[in-house]
Amino acid sequence: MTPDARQAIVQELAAAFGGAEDVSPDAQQPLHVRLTGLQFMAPWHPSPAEALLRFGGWPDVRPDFWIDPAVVNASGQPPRNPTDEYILGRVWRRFSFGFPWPAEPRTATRAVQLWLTRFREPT
Amino acid sequence: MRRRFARRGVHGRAPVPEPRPVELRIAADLFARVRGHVEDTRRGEEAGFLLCGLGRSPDHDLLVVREWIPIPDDAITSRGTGPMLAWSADFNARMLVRADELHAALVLVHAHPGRRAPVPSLDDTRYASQLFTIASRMLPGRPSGAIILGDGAATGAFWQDGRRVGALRRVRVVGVPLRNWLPQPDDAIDRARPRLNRQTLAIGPRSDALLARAAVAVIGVCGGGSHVCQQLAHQGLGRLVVIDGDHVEESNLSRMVGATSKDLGALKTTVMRRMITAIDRSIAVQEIPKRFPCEDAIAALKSVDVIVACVDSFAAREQINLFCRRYLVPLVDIGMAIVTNGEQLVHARGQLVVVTPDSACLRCGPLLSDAALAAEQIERPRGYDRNPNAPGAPQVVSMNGTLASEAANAVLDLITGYAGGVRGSGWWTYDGRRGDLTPFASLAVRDGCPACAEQAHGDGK
Repeated sequence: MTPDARQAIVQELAAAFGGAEDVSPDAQQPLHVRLTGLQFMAPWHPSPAEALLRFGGWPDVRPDFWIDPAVVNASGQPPRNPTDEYILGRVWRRFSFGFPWPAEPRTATRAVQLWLTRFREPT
Repeated sequence: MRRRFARRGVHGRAPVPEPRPVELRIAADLFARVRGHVEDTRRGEEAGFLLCGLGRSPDHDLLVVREWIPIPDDAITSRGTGPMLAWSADFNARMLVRADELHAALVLVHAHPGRRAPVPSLDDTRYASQLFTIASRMLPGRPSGAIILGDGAATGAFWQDGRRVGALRRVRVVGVPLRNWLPQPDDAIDRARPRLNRQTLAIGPRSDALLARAAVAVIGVCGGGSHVCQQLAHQGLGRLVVIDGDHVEESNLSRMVGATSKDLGALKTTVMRRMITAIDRSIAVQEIPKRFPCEDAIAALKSVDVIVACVDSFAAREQINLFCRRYLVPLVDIGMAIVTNGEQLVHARGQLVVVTPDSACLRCGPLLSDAALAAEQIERPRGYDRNPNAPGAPQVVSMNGTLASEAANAVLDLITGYAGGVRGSGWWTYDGRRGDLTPFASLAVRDGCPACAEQAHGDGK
């Protein structure tokens, strides 16, 4: 991915989700973007919260997606099948969720929107 | 030492930071390069800057060195008379820009060769204060400062957000063996606790003191890790951090040293604490009854000298390896895979890997290749816990114990240097059928390794 393409993705996500930062370890590694103010649907809270995206194999492969481990539902539970992972110096939470990809439009914004459909479920 | 610094706008007032000691952690080969420059006084005094990642700990700040930039000849404006050195404001400005890009702290280094306990001169103190009162405002939220190297000792002072915040606690040189450069010379006391008399005879009169003040973490304390805990306790380690989220099950009794039938259902970490303190109740044991990664473990691991990984998945190894890279902590990894045909053992292969910041990491080599991680993810998808009713992998306590003993030797060498440099970091393979432990072909740091790309990043942005 070119530097311009990386920057364009960060700018697109910042505009769509209220804050995004390139946190890639270096330019040779896949683009990592931290979303700093992602809104979650009730009952998921806290909202806004942080999320992390990793664009390996983009755009043919959907980005990996992690949420702040603080994000839970009304019962205090995380999304089903969670795994905590150590990434970029802190703990992020991955969860199991399938959606078809590639989806059109094949944009980073669309990928995050599809990830967020998981949070339509209350548990 | 005289120096000029770039005057830039001073940002708004930040909260007054609490005084905190600072530990500087640096890879041994990089430290040799730093010393090679600043201790070469043929042309007068020399100096340079370290760019450091930051790790916050409850009682101190940790600076992990990412880059070393000696002050080049074309930036030096005057060597003055005697040891005085001055350089351009432009060079300081470039260092500030680079530190800002990396979200790094900035540390100025020079040397007072021949001083057992270096003391800053009045010029050193005055100009460090001038430089870092301003520079630390431009690099907010992290301590920046100046250190002086003497002969095996180092002193230093740090500023954050425009205020003096603390002094250098130590420079930790991470190689085999680990070395401390303290404000006073590191004269480890020659002594031997009575129970360690025989060991001290074997590995030297200072080994007791070195071990007594060392801290080691063991992640995974069942088949391999329980042996490691037991041996480290016998060796006389001062502090042990034991991390495991599992409880003792009946099948663990075939291989978990220290566990008895009365322990079924108990936390494995609690069994380890009992075993360790039964050997020596002066050992400080910190139990973390959770899986890595968790916040408790991350906080505890920042301050240990060595991490021993005895885990059963590549994914866990990958994350522990990454942690060690980010904070420059030596890693000792052991693992064992036994294959049978249903009636007979076909092969029993294991590995011992000792990783230091100067050596290839687990992700550089074949153990944690992309293919190995992908294959495991298909077999054990992340997001799905292990099936508790699934049959466990074949295990033999005596084979685990062989590897664990070598892991304990590796820790002993890291802390005391008993092997005299013939051991160091590296990979060994173990064949449990033949009973041999063989050095693996030496591996180089892999270009593009994702873990090495995060070396010395500390807590990150």
